[in-house]
Parts: sequence; C-alpha cells; structure tokens
Amino acid sequence: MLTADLSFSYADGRDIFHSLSFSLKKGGKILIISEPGSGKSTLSRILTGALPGYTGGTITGHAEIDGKDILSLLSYERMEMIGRVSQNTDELLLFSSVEEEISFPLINMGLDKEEREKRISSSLEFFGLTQYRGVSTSELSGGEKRRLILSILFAIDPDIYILDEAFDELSPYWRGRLRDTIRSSERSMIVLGSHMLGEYVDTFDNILSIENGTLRPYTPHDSSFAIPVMKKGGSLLRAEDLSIERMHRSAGSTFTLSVPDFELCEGECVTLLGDNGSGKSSLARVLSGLLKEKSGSVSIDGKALTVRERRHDVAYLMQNPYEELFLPTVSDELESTGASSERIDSVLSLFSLERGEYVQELSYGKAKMVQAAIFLLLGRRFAILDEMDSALSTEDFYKVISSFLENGTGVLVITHDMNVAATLPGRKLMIEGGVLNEH
Amino acid sequence: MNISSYIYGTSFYHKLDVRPKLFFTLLFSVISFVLSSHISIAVIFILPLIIMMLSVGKGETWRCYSRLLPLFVIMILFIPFQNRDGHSLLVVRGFTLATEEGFWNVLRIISRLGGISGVLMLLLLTERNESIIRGLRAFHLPYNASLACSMILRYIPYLGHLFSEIRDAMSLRLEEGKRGYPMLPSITALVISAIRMIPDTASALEERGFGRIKPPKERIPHPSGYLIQWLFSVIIPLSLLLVR
Amino acid sequence: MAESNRTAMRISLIAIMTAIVAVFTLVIRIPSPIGGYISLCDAAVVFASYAFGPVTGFIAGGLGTAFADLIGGYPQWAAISFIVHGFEAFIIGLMVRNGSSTGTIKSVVSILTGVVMAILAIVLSLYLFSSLFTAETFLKEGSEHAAFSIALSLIVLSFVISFLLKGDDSMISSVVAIVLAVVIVSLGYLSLTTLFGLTIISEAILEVPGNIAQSSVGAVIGLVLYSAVRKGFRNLDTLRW
Repeated sequence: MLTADLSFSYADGRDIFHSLSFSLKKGGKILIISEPGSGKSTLSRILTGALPGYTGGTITGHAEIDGKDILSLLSYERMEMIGRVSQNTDELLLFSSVEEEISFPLINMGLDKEEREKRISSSLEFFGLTQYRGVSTSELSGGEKRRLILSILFAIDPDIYILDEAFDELSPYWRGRLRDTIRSSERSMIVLGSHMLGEYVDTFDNILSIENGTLRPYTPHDSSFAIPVMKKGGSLLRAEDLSIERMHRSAGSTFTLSVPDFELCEGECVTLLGDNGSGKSSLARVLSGLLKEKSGSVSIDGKALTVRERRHDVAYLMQNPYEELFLPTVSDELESTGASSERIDSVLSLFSLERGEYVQELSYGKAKMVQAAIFLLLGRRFAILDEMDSALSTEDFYKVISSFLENGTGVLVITHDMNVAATLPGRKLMIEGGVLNEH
Repeated sequence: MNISSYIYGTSFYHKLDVRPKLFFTLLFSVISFVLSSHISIAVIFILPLIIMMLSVGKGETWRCYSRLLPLFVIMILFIPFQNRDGHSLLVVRGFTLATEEGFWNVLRIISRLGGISGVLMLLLLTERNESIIRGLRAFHLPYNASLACSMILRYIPYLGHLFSEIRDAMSLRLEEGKRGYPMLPSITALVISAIRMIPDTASALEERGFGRIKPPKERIPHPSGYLIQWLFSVIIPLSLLLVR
Repeated sequence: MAESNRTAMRISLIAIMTAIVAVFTLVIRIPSPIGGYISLCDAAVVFASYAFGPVTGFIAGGLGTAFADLIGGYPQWAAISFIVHGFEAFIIGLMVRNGSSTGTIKSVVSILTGVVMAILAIVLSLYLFSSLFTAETFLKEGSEHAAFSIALSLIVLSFVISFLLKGDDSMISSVVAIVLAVVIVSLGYLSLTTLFGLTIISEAILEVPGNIAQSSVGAVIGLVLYSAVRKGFRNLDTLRW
C-alpha cells in the first residue's frame, strides 16, 4: 500500500540517498538495517513530513499510500496514515506530564472523550505505564520514555508504523513484547536499526539495507575493516573495592554497583558490557572524576587519585557529543586543545574532517569524530568511549579505537551490543546484578 | 530540579476548585492594597498563614515563610527611618526611635508582603501546574499560550539537567574556572543545544497534529458545591473592605 | 496552512527561550563582586532579545524570570520580574534590529562598561549605607510618588533612547544597551517593589547595588554569549520573527 521512490539531499547539497525505492503491502513488515549515518532516520522523517519541514533539504521522487501522494500533505494531515517513533526520545516529548503528552495527538485527531480515554488507558497499560499517568515526563527513565513514545504511537494507531531504533534502551522483557506486538499486529510496519538483533529473526517479510544511497537486500557481512590492535604497556589504571551508589529515577530507590577489581593498562582495550541501566555510565563517571564513589579507591600506578585529579588522566567521551563542543568551527575546537598544527592536520585527515566546517552543521556521526579528535589531541592517558558503536559506522568506530590505541591510550569501550564486543580485542567485562565481573 | 511545589493533601483548600481559587488569590492580593486599618493588617497576614498550616502543615508553612523573614527583619530595623515627623512611639535617651505612623506603615507593608506571598504559595502548594494552566484556560488564556506554558514546564527541568551534563563534560575537557567549571563554554553549549531543539520541537508538534483542528473547548466539570466555593472566594476578600 | 507552520515554530521558539531564561535564573550563578551569588538571568534576557527581537525577548525574558520566581519559591516577585525583565528585553530588542557579529573591540568596551557599573555598585552601596544614618528626607515613607515618577521617566527615557538608536549596530548601541539594562533592572525593581507596596523604599534601595552588579555582569555576559553563539550557528537569524 505504500510505494516510494525517493532521493534526498540536505540544504548544503549533501546527498543522502538517490532513487531509494521500496514498497510495503498492507500488513507487511520490513526491516531496514544499515550503518549510522546512512539515512534511515532521514527516510522516516521524509515519510512523516518532518523533512524538509523546518530543517530544509530537497526531495525528489514520490511516495504514495494507496495511490495517494503523501509528500504534498502536511505532517498533521499524514498523522493517521503514517507515524514514527524516533531514535532520540527527547525530540518527541513536548509536555510536562504523561497525560498531556498522550492526549494531545488524540485531541487533535478529533476523538471524543470516551474514545480518547479508551485508547489512553489501554495503550499505557499495554506498555506498563499506567502508574505514571500523572507523572512528569522528566522523571521517567530512558527505557520508560521509549515505552511512552511507543504507547503514544500505538494510541494514535496509524496505518503504517515506523519504528526507528525502537528496541534501544528497552529491557529484554520489553524487547520480547515489542517483537511479539510487531509480529501479531495487523498494521504495516517499518523497523529501522543499525545492527541485527536477536528479536529481529523471523519477524519480517523482507530485510533491506541502505548501501551507497539505495536499498538493497540485506546481507550480513563480516566487516572487512582493520580490527584495532592493542599496544599494551605503560601506566595502569586500577579501581579497587569500589562501591557506587546510583539513583533509580522513577523508583526513587538507590542501588549499588560494586566493582571488586578493575584494571586498565595504557594501550590496552577493554570492553564493558551490561544491560541498559546497569551502571556502566556511572562507573565511567567515577573513573573519569565526575562522580564520587561511596567507598573504594581509584589509582594510577598505585597512587590514589582524587576525583579532580582523575579528570586530567581519564577522558570520558559522553554519548551526546554536542555537550562537549562549543566553538564555531572544527579548527577552533581542535586548536583549543593546544596541539601542534601538524598533529591537528594529521588527525583531521585521519578522521576525514575539514577545518572550516561549522560544528553545528555537522552530522551526528561527524560531531562524534570531532569529539574523539579533541580528546585524542589532548593526549589523555585513558579514554572511555560510551556507546560509540551506535553513533558511528563500523569503519569509523574501529578507526577511533585504533587511533587511541596507537597513541598509547588505554581504552574502555562501553557497549550493550554483544556482536560488537565480540569483534574487539582484549578482555571483556560485564555488569550483572550490580557487580562487575570478567566475561 | 523540582518545578512543582505541589504537595498532596486533602484539606478544604486542596479541594477548592482551581477556578475560584485563582480568583480568590487575585482578589485577595488586590484588596490588600487598599486596606490600612489595624484589623485588616492583621487579617491579611494571618489568614493565609492559618490556611497554609491547615493545608500543608507547620513544617512546610515555616519553610515558606522563613524565606521572607530576612526581609521582614530588615524592614523592622528600618522603622526608625519612617515618618520621622509623626507621633513618637518609642523614645530612647531623648532620641525618637520610632513613630506611630512609621510603625504601622511598616507593619502594613509586612503584612501585605506576607499575605500576598502566602496566598500565592498556597495556590502553588495545593494545585498541580497542569491544573493551574487548565484553570487559566477557563479564564480565557489562549490555547497556544497554554501549550507554550506546558512546554516551558517540560523544558525547564530538561535544560537544567542538560546544563549539569554539559558542565561535567566541559570540566573534562577544559581547565576548571574559579567557579568550579568553565562557565562561558558551558552556557554557550547549553544555549546552542537549546536552539537546535527548536526546529525539531516544531516538527514534533505538527507530527502530533498541531494545527489540524481549531483549539478544543475544554470544560472542566464542576465539583459539588461549586457555587458555594465561588461565593466564599468572592465574599471573604470583599468582606475585608468592611473593616478597611 | 502556512500560518500553522509558523505558529508551531513560534511556540517552540518562545517555549524554549523562556525555559532558557528560567534555567539561567534558577541554576546558573556566579560569585558576586559584592559577596553572595548573582544569578545570570540578565545574560539570557539580553541574549534572547538580541538574537530574536523585542517581542520574543519580552515574552521569554518576562515569563522566564516570572516562572523562575514561581518555581523557585519567591512567587511574590513574579509579576514584578515579568514587568522589569520583559521591559528590559523589549527595549534592548528594539535597539538591535538586525544583529551582526560583535567585534573584539566592541566586546572589550562592553566588558569595560560592565566593570565600571560594578564599581559603581560598590560605591553606591557604600554611599547609601552611610546616608541611611543621616535621616535624609527622601527616605521618608509616602515616597510612592517618587517611585511612580522614577518608573514613568524610566519608561519614557528608555523608549526615546531606543528609538534614537534603533537598528544601529555600533559600539555605542551595545554600550547603551548594557547601561539601559542595568538602569531598567535596578531602578525598575526599586520603583515597582515600592509602588506595589511590597516593601519600603529604604529596603528597596538596599537591593539596588546588588541589582546593578547582577544586571551589569549579566548584560555583558549576554552580549558575549550572543556573539559566541552567533559565530557557531549561522542560521540564527532565520529563527527571528
């Protein structure tokens, strides 16, 4: 019922895809898997009307639902035909309470009070959010926010659902339920993802991939990119008997993460695994000096470090790169590190960045590369990369890790993706049940 | 960051519907300006105080009023400077420390400040933010304005949280300033992040259907005793005029 | 349907800028030259009006500070903050029609102006403190007239100055913008708090030096912030309305 053949380029002329064509029959389910930055979210935005919208860009081609052209319709006119859940939850949350958030679109659909109430309560109940109905959205955890925007989409119940990385941040239980819902739903669904997940198996009629700007059938391929090589030697970062206290946002309870022994050598690569919400980021914050541990010590070469001292030696690349960038152009940012011109030039060419590019106009992936470049040039002895694999293509991801390792930096890679972890060298650690162990 | 002062309770003031409550708050505040008799000064100050104690308890009441104490103290200390050419009230060693007019003037102002603060705090303590906004809608606050208010209340804690993340992130990268974090880069990054969100927010509004239909007329149902609540809300402040 | 497009953008712009002003008022504080803390609300207010014009600035600056007062536990000042900072933003916004990047010299002069005003604050506070003990008649109660005339002349003077310098993007206008911001905030709070009978004039005068310090530092930072953001965000002007 949905047929599309689209080409899109951004306002600055960057081509994202051309002649991307596919069709989706009524009740059909397709999965599109491709690297970050290949245009999946762009595709979903074009279909719902968020693009070109306020961000600009040129669309050529056509998209029709049941023969009717949708590209000429405004977003709110397409609401009941096609809707999406985006990768970035904060993008779609507008109001202060859950109740307002979920009633807003239903009111705009012209539904009467009874119908609205029916949809709201069944949708919230299905996603386990009934008790949060009167709560402020800022008090929800990441996984709960995802379930909330899913429940809003299910309450609107358009003919076609687009789920962009919807499985992210959900606990295994909810991933299973989402998979079952997708399988059993009568609606047509397009799911977008960057890695093959277990939940995807046997769920879709068709699995595609965006390569070189067009859609092809998906073929799982081993990455042919050079896997990073460790260069162990030098100082040792050690954490002993750490006890870290974390607050569970909505439950209001604290939970303790205990780390009996953690070691990272300069030039070594260690991977940290764990489910969402298990405490990986909290550990990273303690190691890099942003959070004080309840008890225990963090030391380099035996010398215990205060929270402030750790910041000089341990870099922590946060998930959102824009939180660490503030200068106008790429060269401004890199030069602020005080590194020499030659080093800056070599990093620029290594990461395929241009000096004059404006930071705010970079794509998310490129901004992440700038973030990595800055810490590389700052020459910290250790670096913690938080969920970098979900923001970069495999090639760029390996490139960043290799650059750090070659520089002699000890790298701690945080990820929740087992497949990615399997390809990396070095030890694997896992947080399970509040304790850090070897895996 | 806590944007809501709301404290759950079942007192009569909690049960008072938000619309007469809003009107009472406004009327009370306005009337406090035209009163000057000794009795009215006392009532303006004491009435909200008592209602607050009955609604949210002594602890919370103390918390609210204690913020005003420094101001009250300063004003009392400045009584000697008021109306120096009035009837002497307190004379120390031949020096007029306070005049009658000065004394009552300051008391009048203290009670007005206390009364208005009290009645405003009561509103925020006994009503959730969303219901205050809905109440204002009933007083013809435009629909778009109520949407904006709701959005503002969403973004304040979000941006506050984002700022502390940015502060942390910046202190990893740059030398800490005297305030413990590099301030200028942090506020720049915060403002830039906020501005980036504007087009996405506008798109999200439209994807959720904004602009599809005319603003809906929302009617909050009248609770039992609605009329009586209104009567009390109007009569009590107006009756103060009798002892003006 | 083009109106609804712009409306969604307008609402988003106002909501987010108002939230920014509120966050600046509530969260962002720096140690003050006179002791204690000063909030950087004026930085956000000045930024909003410079970047987005008088109307957005008025709403963002006024509502933002008002919301901050309501949330922060000082609801009694909300109405006054709305008027004072809203007006401040409106006047400054009128003066800068089409913003362009501020050069280094301008920033330096702006900072110098701020420093001068901060020193003025210290001097003024010393003077006021000593004058309180000489029973000057202007501290007599019943100076609601004085407060009213201060407020009125402030309004008239501000409008006159802003229209004289409208759209002028020179160094003079940014200096004048800072001075106006400071004057409006300090005298505005002074006259309105007394006028609204929420405090006595002698207490309100005590707050003037603090307000001068806060608004001068804030205004300067606001200008610096504006040029920093503008440099990195080339499309800033497209969001104006």
